[in-house]
Amino acid sequence: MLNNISGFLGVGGGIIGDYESIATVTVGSATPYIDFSTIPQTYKHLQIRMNVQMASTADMNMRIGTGGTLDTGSNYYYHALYGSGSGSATSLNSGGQVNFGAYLGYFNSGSSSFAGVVTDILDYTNTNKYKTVRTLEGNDSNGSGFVFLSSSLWSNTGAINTLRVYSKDSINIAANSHFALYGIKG
Amino acid sequence: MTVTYEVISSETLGSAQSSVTIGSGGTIPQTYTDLVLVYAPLGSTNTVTHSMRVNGDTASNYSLTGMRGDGSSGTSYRASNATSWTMYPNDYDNTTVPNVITVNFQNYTNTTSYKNILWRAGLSASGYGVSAQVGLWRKTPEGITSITLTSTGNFAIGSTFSLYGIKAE
Repeated sequence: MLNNISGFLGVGGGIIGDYESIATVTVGSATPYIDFSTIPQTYKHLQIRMNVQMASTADMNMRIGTGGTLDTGSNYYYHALYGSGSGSATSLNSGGQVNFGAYLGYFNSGSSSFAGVVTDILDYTNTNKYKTVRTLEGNDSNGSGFVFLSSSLWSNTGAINTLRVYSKDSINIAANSHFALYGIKG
Repeated sequence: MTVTYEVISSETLGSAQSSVTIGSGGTIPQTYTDLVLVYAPLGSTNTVTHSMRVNGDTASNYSLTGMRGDGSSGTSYRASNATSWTMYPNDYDNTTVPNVITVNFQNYTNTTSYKNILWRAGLSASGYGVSAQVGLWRKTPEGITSITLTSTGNFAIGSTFSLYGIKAE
C-alpha cells in the first residue's frame, strides 16, 4: 500500500516567514501509515504536530528516508522517559540499533480521546552528521494514560526528504487522526 | 507555503491578579489548527500553584497524566474527574524565578472528539523540577474559545502570557 496517503506539498505563494506549513494529512479511514514525501530542503528544522488515535494500543514509530527511499535498516536508536500515572517515571531505550524507526511513544486507543504529539527533526538537511528526532507525546483517558519524552537517532548522514509515521506493531492509525508537517527557518 | 505561527495575544501583568483569562468572552479565533500557550508565571508566594480551565467549564471534565523530575528522582502522577488541570501538582510557583511553560492545544476547534493538551514546564531553583503532562478535556466536544489560569494566591507582577496560533495548510 505504497503512498496510500501522502502529504500535499504546498507550492509557492503566501508570505515567507520562519515557520511554515509544508503538508497536512487528515486520515479519512483507518490506515497503516502516513507518508510525507518530497520534503523541501529549504528549512533548518522540521516539526510534525499530530493528533492521533490508534485502532488499539500500540507503539508509534517513524521511518526516515533520503533520496526518496525510506530506510528499513537497523539504523535507529532511541531513549525515552515516560510516566504512567503512578510510581516512578521510567526510562527505556531500544537496546541496540533497530530497524523500525524513531520512537514516538506508546498510544492508548479510545473512542473519543486522541494523543497529542509534537516531533522535532533537527538539522534535517545536514549531510555531515547523523540526525536526531525528539518527541513529546501524551494520551490521557481519565484514569489511564501515558506521557512520553523521547529522543531518537538515525545513524545516517543523508538529507531527509521522506518520512513515514506508522506502528511497528502493525496497528492502524484511526480515522480523523491529523498530521501536519511544518518547516522552521534557521 | 503559508506563514503559520502567529501571535494571538500577549500580556505581561502590571499588577497582581488571581486569574488570567485569554480569549475572555470566548474570543479565541477558530481559524487555526493548534494553539500554543507560552507563559512564565511568578507566584505571590512560594507556596501557590495554579490551574487551568477552558471555556469556563467548571464540571469534572478534566484529567491528566504527568511526570516530574527534581534532580534526584522521577515520579509519575495522575488526576481523574477533576474540575481543572493543575499545571504541576508537585511544584509551586516561585516569587522570583518564573516557571517556563509551553502548552499545546491540538486540533482545538474540532467538534467530534475530546480535546487533549500537552505541556512541559521547568523551573531551575532549589526544590523545584521539570515536568511533562498530558491532559484530557471530556466536555461534549466544542472548540476552545477561552483559557483561564487561576492561582491559589496571585500571579505576581511581571508574569507573562502569550498565545500563538498555528495553521496547517
